Amino acid sequence: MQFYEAPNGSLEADHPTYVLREADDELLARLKAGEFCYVLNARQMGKSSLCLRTTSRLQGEGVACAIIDLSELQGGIPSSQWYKTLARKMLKELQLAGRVDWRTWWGDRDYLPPMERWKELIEEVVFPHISQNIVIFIDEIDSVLSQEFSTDDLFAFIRACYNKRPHKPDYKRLTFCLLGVAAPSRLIADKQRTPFNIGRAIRLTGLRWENAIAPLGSVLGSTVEDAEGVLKEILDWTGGQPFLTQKLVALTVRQGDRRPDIGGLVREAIVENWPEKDNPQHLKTIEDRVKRGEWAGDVLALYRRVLRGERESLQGESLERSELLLSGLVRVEGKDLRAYNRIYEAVFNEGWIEEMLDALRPFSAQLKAWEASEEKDESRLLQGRALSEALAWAEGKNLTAGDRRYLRASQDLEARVLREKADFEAAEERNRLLKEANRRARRRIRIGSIVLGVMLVLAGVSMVFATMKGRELQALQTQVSKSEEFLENVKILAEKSNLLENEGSDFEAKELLSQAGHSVNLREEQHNLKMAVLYAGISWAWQKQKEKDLDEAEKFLNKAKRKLNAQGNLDSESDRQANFLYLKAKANLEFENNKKSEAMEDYIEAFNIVRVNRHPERLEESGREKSIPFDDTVPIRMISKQSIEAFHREMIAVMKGEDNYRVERKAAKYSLFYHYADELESFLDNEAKLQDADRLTFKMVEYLVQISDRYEDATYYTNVWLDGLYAIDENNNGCNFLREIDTLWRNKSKQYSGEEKFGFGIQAQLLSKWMQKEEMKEELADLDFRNYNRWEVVGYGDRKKKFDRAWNQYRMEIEWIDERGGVIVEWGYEAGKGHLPHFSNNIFWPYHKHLFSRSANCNL
Amino acid sequence: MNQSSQGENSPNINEVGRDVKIDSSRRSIAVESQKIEGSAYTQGNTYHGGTHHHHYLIQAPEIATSDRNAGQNRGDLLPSQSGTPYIERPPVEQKCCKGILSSPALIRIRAPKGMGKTELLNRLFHFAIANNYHAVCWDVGSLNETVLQDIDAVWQQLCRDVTRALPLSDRVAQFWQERTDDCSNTKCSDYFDEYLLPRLDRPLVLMLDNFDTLFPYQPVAREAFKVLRSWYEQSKRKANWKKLRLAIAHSTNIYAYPELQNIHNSPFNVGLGIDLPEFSPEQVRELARGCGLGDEELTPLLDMVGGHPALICQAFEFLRDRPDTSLVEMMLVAATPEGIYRNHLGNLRDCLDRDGTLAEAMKAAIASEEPVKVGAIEAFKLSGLGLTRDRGHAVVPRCRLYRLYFRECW
Repeated sequence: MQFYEAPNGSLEADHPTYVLREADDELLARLKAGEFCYVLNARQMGKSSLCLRTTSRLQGEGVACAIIDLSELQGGIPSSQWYKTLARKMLKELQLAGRVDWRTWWGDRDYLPPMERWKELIEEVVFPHISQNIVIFIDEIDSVLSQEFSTDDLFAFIRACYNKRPHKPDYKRLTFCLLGVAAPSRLIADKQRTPFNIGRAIRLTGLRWENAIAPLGSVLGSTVEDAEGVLKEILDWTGGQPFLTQKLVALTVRQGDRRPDIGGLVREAIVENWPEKDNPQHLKTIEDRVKRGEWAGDVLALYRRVLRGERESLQGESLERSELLLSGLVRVEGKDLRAYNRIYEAVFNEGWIEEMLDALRPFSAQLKAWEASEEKDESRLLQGRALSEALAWAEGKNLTAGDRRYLRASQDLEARVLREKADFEAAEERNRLLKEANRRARRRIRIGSIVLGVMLVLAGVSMVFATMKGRELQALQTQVSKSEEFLENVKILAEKSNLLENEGSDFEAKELLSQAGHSVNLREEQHNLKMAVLYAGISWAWQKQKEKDLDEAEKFLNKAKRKLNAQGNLDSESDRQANFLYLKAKANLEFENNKKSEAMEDYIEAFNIVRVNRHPERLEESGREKSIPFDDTVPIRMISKQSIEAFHREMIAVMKGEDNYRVERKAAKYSLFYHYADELESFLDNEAKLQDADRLTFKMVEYLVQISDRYEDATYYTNVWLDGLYAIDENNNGCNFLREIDTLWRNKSKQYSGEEKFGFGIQAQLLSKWMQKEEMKEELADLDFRNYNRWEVVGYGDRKKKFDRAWNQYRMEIEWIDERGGVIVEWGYEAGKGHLPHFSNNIFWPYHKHLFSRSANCNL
Repeated sequence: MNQSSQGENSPNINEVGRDVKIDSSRRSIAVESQKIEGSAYTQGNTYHGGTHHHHYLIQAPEIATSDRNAGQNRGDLLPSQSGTPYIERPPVEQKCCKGILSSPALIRIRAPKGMGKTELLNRLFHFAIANNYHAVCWDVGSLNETVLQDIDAVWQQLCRDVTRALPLSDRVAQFWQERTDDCSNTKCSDYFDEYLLPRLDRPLVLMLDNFDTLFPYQPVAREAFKVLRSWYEQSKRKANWKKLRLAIAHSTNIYAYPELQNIHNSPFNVGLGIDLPEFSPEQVRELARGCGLGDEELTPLLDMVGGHPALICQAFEFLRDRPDTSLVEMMLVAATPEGIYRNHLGNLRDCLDRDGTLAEAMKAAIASEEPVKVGAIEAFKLSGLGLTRDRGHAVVPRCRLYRLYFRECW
């Protein structure tokens, strides 16, 4: 008997059974080239081994490496300590711990937010002491998901390190590599701060025979006759999954058979009674990952389809698919999903799926009771909400016959009850259901329940016919045929929305549903308008879906046009909004069809409907005082704030560089700003939304930079951004815009707290008052805050320190930070004077003071 | 069980522990540890079929495979200090010894109570000393409740005890004071990294006995897991940490604590897992010969307790000391409150009485001749106590002794 043990956990860099993969060379090459890389994959796929190996190879080439394993960090510690431990680990890993007096170094900078301290650490300690290139590996990155605080700053920091490269060449020497089990979008939601879209995903494949034969063949060779053949067979069972391959090799060696029966061994030592033999744990990890989480049912359903060999589209984003891939159960093979290997197929078989679903089925107790009553006890059937939830859950799950009978019986019962209740108010009921359906669809509940609701109502309506006669019947029939036309198109629109959602166009999908929802609110006699809205929506969907069909889009657009024409002169608010939706779809279609000038004209016509214009020095009279979504005088608001924003942004983008439309484009820029201002006002009116207001305020300031003539393309490059900020008042209206924001904060804080306490102006006043204080005056006497400039700032050395201290003291005074430098945020009108806007969610937080300079300059 | 008996012992554990005088001129661990063992024998408290709660925190582990009645003479038979000879269960011993010779090393010995884990650690201890390694065995079971609830206290205790056992001068207090701002895990890891390990010229085998004592203290256990795992991971690439070799012994399966199941930052999914098997009939016979009972007919014993090491050893010791008793007689009353296993059975019964659902699960198991499906957590707990064995998701009573005894007493 041999004592060969499979290596568990990650393999040391020089482990004799390490099997090379494409990822090895790719990762090495990319990191050497300074690219940011991430390896996000299932458990036990050899990520950490790859990390150790790559580290060792990089070190061999003179690159300094640090490996930080996030899962090691102590739980339940405050964010400040978390970041500190992280920084300390990095220093130790880079063998710089002895270079600085760590405790005083970190402590001295307690006025800085953690990631700013990181930045200084990197610039002041790491760069000067390490002249080679540096790669920092962060392993188990998904540990951030279990932190109670947001770790977005960490990711934003990584991104910022990249953005700094053009300005600070040292950063070209610094590269990051993240490893873990999560989808990038779950690690950081903010698309603008995420580093993942500038990084490179490294795909980790299974082990291949050609690479595995040398290291593993020699292990096998100690006992088996035909090591090559046996290894082939082993890989055939494991699909190259590293953990299982190593395990099976070890089992084969231990068994000591010269001609081993690998299939038999797999059955005996892995598959049969697997929970008992799953040591070290592997299969149970997969099971746990699949069954936990609210999407377990869908993930299982998808897995079942994969097992049955049904083709699954790999298009777009899908939560189930990403979860299933991360569990490691399946892999992408060509254009298909496949079970990762035969062992999984044997362990996680149909029976297992059934067992998992059983545990998940929301109605399993009632189902059992119903079956126990020989399927007679109607009180056990599902009704109403429970039924539609059950149906939504059951959707696409390939249920058992028992499940299907139970659900059908429940549906029959529900239909019967509905029919019994049906009366002349059926039409109202229909609207209610649709609205309900819309509400639910927004909550991402599957389309099945909407269609079901519609069908049930139609069934109810036709029952009503039977009891009516003559003219009444005829009138109702007209109404019903109108309703049918309407409902049919609602259904199409709903399907389209579902399609778009599946393709990842969440925004478009929501928009379509919200249009359908709002159109229901239109009065019965505005049927034409309703239909125009629906048709415009469907046309829009044809243009936006992955498989575009511009002919179909045109067809529906024409239908919409006919309905609008039938409506007449389009002068009511609702008419104008419907027209806007129509024009928007039309402009987009024209653009798709390369009819640029027509498109421009339609953009302008549509723009004139939604334009907000209340500039004090307004050049033209056109435009509304308030943006539609926030205007209480508009009875039915069919256009959402997101839609308005998207439209403006689109128009600004489309007209970029078009000399003929410079005026219109500028008008659109201004209009969007006032639209934001209206949104800000609505946030400020709701104390619970102050955080949103804060975020929006930042977005608006940023927007001002982006629309300035000079920095139109400014992104998140700090320097450019700051330049842009200083250019705000160079734009003719920069100060007016800043004042608009400031006035809102000021007035609303007065309205709700009785005191003007929020806004940049207040903050700037407080700061300059503070700077007049005796102990600071001398040092900072010649510091005119108006001329506070990011280059000259306040000077260097002691003076800078003094100013930073002053700044720090000031922030304590307005309750932004506590004595230990911890960030305080209080979202409420009770907060202290100058406390908001806070911008604490933002990496530019330290630059807030630059904004004050602008505030002072604009005399806020 | 640990917890229950802990109460009585805990108050004086630290007291006595502090009295250990470590003479810094004596560098040999082996000598040191034998000294302590010697005194531990006379003070060792009686505990039926389980691990002793050592009065000394640092010492060579004692054996667990035999019943000890206070005052019974035993002791000079190193490496096994019980009255019964040590029976090897190949390849377990070999695997363990080989396992600590190279880095990275993490050995997890998992077996129910009374299977001889501590005895195995003892063997490992002597093997390490013989190979000129440092060796320290830290009995987590001897920590008191207050310490167990605070990860900082656990780490301080560990650092202090390991420092003393090596022996080095104790810098724990100073180290902790200098790092008030750091989290506990960092302090402990840094203490090893910056103080202990750099001062060792040879590898250190750190053995953690009764590690399952930590499991009910979940927040503490979680952190302990992380730290051990990180030490293991670091030993893959850092010379300093390569000196550290870990061996952990625990009874209860980690699965009995769903909250601790994020095994990806715990030591339980890496290293070398060792499941201690029961004695085979052949090994039982060998043991009988070693006890001078070569002629006994062993079938009644095997039929009653299977290969349960502690129960077998206990029976043999009893027979050896009372040559007029016959095995058959002994087995006839074995499952009753008059039998030799009364203390052992009584302890198990107390455990079940404290946990209603566990008792229900056990009842179900003894009522059926077939394996019975019980809750996963109950299954893990029962087998952790050694009451049942796993058959997939189902359990069967471990031996007829339990079936008979519990059928009677319920």
